[in-house]
Amino acid sequence: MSARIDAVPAATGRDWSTLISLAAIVVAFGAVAGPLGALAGIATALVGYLFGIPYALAAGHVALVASFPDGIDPLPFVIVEVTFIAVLLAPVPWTESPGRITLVAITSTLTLAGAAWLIVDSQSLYLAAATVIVLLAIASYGLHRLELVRLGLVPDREDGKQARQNDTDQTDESITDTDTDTTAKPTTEPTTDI
Amino acid sequence: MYPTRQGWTVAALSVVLAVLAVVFARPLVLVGSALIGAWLLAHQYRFTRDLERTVESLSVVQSPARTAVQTGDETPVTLTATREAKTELTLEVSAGVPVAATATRPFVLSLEPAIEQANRTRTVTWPVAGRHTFDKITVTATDGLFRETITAGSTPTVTVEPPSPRSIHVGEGGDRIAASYGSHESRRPGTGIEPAELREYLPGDTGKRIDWKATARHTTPYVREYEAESDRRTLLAVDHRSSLAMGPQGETKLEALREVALVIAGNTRRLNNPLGLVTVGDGGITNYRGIASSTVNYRPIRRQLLSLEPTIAADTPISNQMGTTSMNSTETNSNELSASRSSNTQLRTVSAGENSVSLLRRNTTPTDAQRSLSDLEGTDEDDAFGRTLRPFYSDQQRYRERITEDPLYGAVHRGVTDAQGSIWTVICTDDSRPAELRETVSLARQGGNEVLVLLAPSVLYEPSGLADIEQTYDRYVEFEEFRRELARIDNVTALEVGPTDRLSAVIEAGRSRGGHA
Repeated sequence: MSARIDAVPAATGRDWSTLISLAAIVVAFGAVAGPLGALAGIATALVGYLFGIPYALAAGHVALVASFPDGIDPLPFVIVEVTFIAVLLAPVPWTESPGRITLVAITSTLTLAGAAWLIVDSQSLYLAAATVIVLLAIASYGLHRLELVRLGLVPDREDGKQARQNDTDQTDESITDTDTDTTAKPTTEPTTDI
Repeated sequence: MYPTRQGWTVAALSVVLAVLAVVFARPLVLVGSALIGAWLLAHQYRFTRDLERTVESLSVVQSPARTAVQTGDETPVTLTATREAKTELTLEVSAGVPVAATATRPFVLSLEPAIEQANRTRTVTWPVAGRHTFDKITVTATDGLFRETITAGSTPTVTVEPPSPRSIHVGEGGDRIAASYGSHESRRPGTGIEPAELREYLPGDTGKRIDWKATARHTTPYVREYEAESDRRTLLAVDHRSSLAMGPQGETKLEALREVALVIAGNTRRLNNPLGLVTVGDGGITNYRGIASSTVNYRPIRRQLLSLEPTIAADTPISNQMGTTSMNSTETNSNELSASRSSNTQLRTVSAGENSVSLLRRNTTPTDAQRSLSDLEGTDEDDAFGRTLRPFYSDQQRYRERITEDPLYGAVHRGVTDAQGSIWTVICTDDSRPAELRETVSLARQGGNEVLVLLAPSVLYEPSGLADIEQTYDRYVEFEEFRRELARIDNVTALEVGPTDRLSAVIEAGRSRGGHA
């Protein structure tokens, strides 16, 4: 009951669907890169199982680069990336809004990866990387604002003025009360009936 | 919504992959960065959805066991959190304990994702008097990647009162009187809104005073009289001499009288009646505020009443043959009270005798003494009657001069003189100076003024408590006789003000003995 809130782990994805998707990564790596790839896939799955999906995605892509030092053909790339997306979406069915979250995940993936793809074709890799990071930051901030609006945590301009005015009024009242109550030995009206 | 350390780590992982892609010139790594970014956004959206559902279904309550306590009291406060929706969020719920209160331990509870309800009770201490409102409950929700803090729940208020008499009895002979304050009748016709009577039209009445409905009913002109609206000008005379310090801590005579005086002042303000205050210490008037509108006077008077402390008596106690005593220590109280009682007894014995002696008792007012002495001055020097009585009345003259120097008498004298007109004088004092009080009451009721005497019986406040209940009852009976003596005077109401529990014990003792106060 008294666990520190910082220590609450994010969903590490140890449900059976995630485990199947991690196994799929091993298979996909083995299929596209042979025994060495299978080893890389196993390492990726282990990282994912122990540390979480984002680390699996990171380790998997680094391993993929190591497995294909001269570049990867489109088919193996698609096969491996599909398994990565499967890992990404594996826990979603267990959530309360699987459809919406799946939509956000797919849209984000296509947008970020598509933007990177498009820019790499015409511009430098440096610009593509910067674009991905900037798009990610913008999308994240957008969701942050969406949350504030949905929960009513952002007063609109007029309400803000009103709220500030109310705050001022309350301060004035509290000053008056302090004057009344503290100087005059704060006590309520006695209940004695005479 | 703010990322936790874990959230920042995942974001950093995405950035690192993007940097690696640039460093190794491999766009493939950038796809990994994009996938991690997508994973992060999906979880952020999920957090938003979960938080929204949580807020809709969350119920948090902080409920103090008592909303009225005294300074230094400890009260249990229960914090309850209930969530109906199943989400993956862990909630950390913090009670909004006021700044002026202290909880024994951090007042926080956690609601894990699988748990629907949790509650925790902590003991909260209230060292500062006043009205303290709880802050809203702070709820921090997290899924491990993001966290958000919202406020929710009710904000109960706890009133913390300084130590004061817990229950004060105000009444007569142990019987509590009903509330008698409110709008009062003036019993005089005039302009007002309260109908007084209906009478036939008389020549001289203006036409607009005719009550046409009554006229129609009676076929002759009728006029409706209204009761005149008047203000009851109230003068509070509060004694805070050393004898008023008697009693347990926070429950002294002065504390009890202060509470009742505050009630009267409050009623005066409610009825918008003019109010004045004169406070009396051992050295004389300590504070004087002439009668003025309660709108102007109420707050200063309330402050003055609340800040009253018993004064310190002079080194040499002043006493007189009529039982007026000035106590300067607790030890002397019983002796002087005994003296006071013995003098009262003498008076009673005398008054129970011949009628002429009863007359002597009635002629103890300074004015009467002065008049009687003047009468005797006119009698023949050889007259045995005059020769015998003259020395006694000369003593009364000296008594008259001395009584005017008594603080309470002097204070009421000033208040009554300054008021100029009919006033309602409320005298808050104890029974340790009966002679002075008699004179003061007589002075206050001059001119048909009404007087309310609030008397704190010393017997109910003595530190020895009710050790000897029989003796205590006897002394209470003596006090009651004195109170009745005052109450018998026209336009005077005398009420006792004492701790309910002690008084009940004394009355009960009297009943069991078969007596009646």
